[in-house]
Amino acid sequence: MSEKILVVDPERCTGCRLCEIVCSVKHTGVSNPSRSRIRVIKWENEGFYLPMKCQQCQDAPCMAVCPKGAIYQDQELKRIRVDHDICIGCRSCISACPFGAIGWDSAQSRVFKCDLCSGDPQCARFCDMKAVDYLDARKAQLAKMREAAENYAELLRRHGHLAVEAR
Amino acid sequence: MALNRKIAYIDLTSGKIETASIPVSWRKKFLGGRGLDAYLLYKNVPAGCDPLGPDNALIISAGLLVGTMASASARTHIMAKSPLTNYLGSANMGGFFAPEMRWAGFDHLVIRGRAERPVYIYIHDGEIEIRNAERLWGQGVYETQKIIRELLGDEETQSLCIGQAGERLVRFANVMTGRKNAAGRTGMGAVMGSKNLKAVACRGTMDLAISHPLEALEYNKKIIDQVISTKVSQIMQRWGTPFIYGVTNTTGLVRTKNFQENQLTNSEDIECENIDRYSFGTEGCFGCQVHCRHRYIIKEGAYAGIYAQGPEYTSQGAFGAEVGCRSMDTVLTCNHLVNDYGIDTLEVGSMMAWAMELYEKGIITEKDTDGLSLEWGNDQAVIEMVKRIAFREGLGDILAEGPLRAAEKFGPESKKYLIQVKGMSNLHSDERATPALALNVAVSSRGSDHLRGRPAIDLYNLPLKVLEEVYRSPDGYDGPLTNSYSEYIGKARMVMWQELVYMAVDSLGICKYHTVFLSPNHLAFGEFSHLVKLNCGLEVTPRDIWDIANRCYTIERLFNIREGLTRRDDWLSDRYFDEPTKLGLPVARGKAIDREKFRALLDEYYRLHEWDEEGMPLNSLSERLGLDELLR
Amino acid sequence: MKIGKIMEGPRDGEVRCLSCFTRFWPQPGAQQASCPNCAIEWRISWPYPKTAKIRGPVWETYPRDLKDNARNDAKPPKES
Repeated sequence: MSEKILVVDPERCTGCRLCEIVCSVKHTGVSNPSRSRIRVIKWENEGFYLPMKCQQCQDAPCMAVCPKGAIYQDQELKRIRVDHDICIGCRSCISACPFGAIGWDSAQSRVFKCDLCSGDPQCARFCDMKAVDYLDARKAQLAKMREAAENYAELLRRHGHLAVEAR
Repeated sequence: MALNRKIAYIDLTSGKIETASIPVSWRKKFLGGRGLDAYLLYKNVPAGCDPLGPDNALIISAGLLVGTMASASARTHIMAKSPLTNYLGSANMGGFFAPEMRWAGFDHLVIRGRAERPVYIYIHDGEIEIRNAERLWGQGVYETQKIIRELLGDEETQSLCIGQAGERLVRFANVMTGRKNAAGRTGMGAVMGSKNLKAVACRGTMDLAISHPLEALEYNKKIIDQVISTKVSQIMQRWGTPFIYGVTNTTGLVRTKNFQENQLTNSEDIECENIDRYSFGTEGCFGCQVHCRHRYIIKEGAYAGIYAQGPEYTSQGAFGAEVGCRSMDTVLTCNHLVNDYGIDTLEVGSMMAWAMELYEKGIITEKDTDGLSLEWGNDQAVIEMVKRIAFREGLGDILAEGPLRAAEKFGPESKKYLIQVKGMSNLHSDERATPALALNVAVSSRGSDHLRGRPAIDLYNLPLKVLEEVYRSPDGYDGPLTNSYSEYIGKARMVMWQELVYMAVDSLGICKYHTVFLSPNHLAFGEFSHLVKLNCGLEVTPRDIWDIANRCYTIERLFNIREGLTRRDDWLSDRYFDEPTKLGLPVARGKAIDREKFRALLDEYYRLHEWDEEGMPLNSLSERLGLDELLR
Repeated sequence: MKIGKIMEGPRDGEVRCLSCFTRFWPQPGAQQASCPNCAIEWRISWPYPKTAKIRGPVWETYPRDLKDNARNDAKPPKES
């Protein structure tokens, strides 16, 4: 199976925060954004929204800092996981994560982070705008490239440099 | 679970705060949100009280499904006695306030009294504080929310607040949250201002448990797909409610130059497609995939460069057709101003249009306007008047009193040109060609208004089979239905059905764009029942929800009757009957409402509601709904 | 401005005449089209590449008067 990655496009985000509650309901059974693995960070006075979540780093600081080796990369989905049987709850990983993507769940007294919903991330599934999307790693980049290139094509089209598309 | 949120009774005079649980029996009788608000209002507001006095209660609530796995469950409802109409005041808005209030532990706030100095209420994880708001007083809506976040040092704080219009007790000032979400109608912002309450801020991190989380999650996906599969939702996702203008203006259903015409010809510039020039993306309320509003930047004029949200269909009418303006820049500028000043876009537009007709007829002159030329289509005058009304300057001070009080100042002749019901102006829709829509504005429990019971799908000429599926359930109505919008037959049922479905969604806290409003294929009583069960663990059948909505709507009626409402108040301005439309497509041209047929329609509407000929709920209805006991 | 997913469905490219409610299909991408039943001319917009919407009338040819315009004699709407 080819590798998939969770991709964020802030220009598509409408700021609705549905990803936050589907994440918390899926993982904890309750609606509570403070227990969600994904959060939409907002610049409300400028209208800019950026969903933030675990980047599943290759050289993950959380993994490096863990004194018990409880954090590891899962080979199947290439995600960074916490083995709660080994974890001592020291929260070093919370400090180490450069993205703030690891949180402390007071109700369960343990750390939490994105686990890609074992291959079916609910944030991406529910996001109609696809501001969060779960894409084939080898195709994701090209999709973005095409989108950016479309502006160029549109410019040529507007100036009559492209043939009219047969519909 | 979602049933454990509380009510807080806050007395701003004494500073006393009491909290109470909401009994499950209340949930079964009123659900929550607007339905429970109606009951609380009836019980907590003394008959005949001054709407701007300390006895009036301002009730702020989150619907029963807010924050749960029910798509677009974002709605805040606000109730009080209205300073505009002296009847029921009631307004609903989206945004992110209501879910935050639930995560902070509360569903309903009943705010009474009057603070000596400006205050704001801060609610966080079960705690409520009354705080000094002198730094906020005088600020607009955008800045107020920004300063609250700075004061609290928490960007996640969600606030609702009033702008300068609410502080000045403009009788149609609104309560706002975010950049554009407005609890717009009936002057709830003036009630807040009269209590010296500038804002309510919430921040919560408390769990809202879902009864059947994984099933609720899957069902949520199903209803989202159901909603966004309709063409109307897809167009809303793209252009928002302004898309409606293309249809209604083309047909001839748009009030133009106050009420003189029913269409603004050659108004391409204010069509929804043109918003693309200003927009850099859409915005969703909490959990909503319809994301129907734009994030835009004003391009021209004194406000160029400002970031605002919207506009809605209502602003295209208020600052376009009604006042004869054909400029998107004007619409977008005024939309920004009303949102920042905190004032109802519909009422502002209608009051200005009326003043412009009075100016045209010579009933008011440049002496009254301080030299401002109120000619149709004068963009600069329209922008200026928005400010004058919000700040109560000159003529604006009179218009800020609302239609009936302003008409007293200008004399009886001026009253003839007013388009109002129960002292509240209508939006810019012209209902002369559409009896069902006309009935809705005449009978709405909060004065002339489309969001109480508009059967918008009546305009679609749908196959009868579809209408029957919608309007015969859940109580098995077996009377007539017709699918032509020029008809009077069966329309009373459509209005009554829509009134109850809107009451239900407002009680659940879901957006109307997810319900049978603009599409027959959206949610109604069946889906509501399932959502309540999965999210709250409460068993209510579709028929139960129908009865609950009926109970709550009847309480609103009884509140109005207690404040002096009679059958005469359920009636339209004479112009609807006496001045046939001049423009539009053949289906909408040369049309006026027929008095006799309309009277019969009103009789039928009362009969369907089980009200007597005077519009008074019958004893048999009160008994069945248990109202005698509840309201004693 | 980025738009949401591209919709495709059985109603692709279809619009419904606002006067006589006849369904018809403008040429893909066309900015104008007239109703095959009542001949009223419409301006068309495309919210998505395959979704058509009536934007408004062509004002120059819009039925002006109840008496003098033949276009007003539209056939009654068909039950769809």
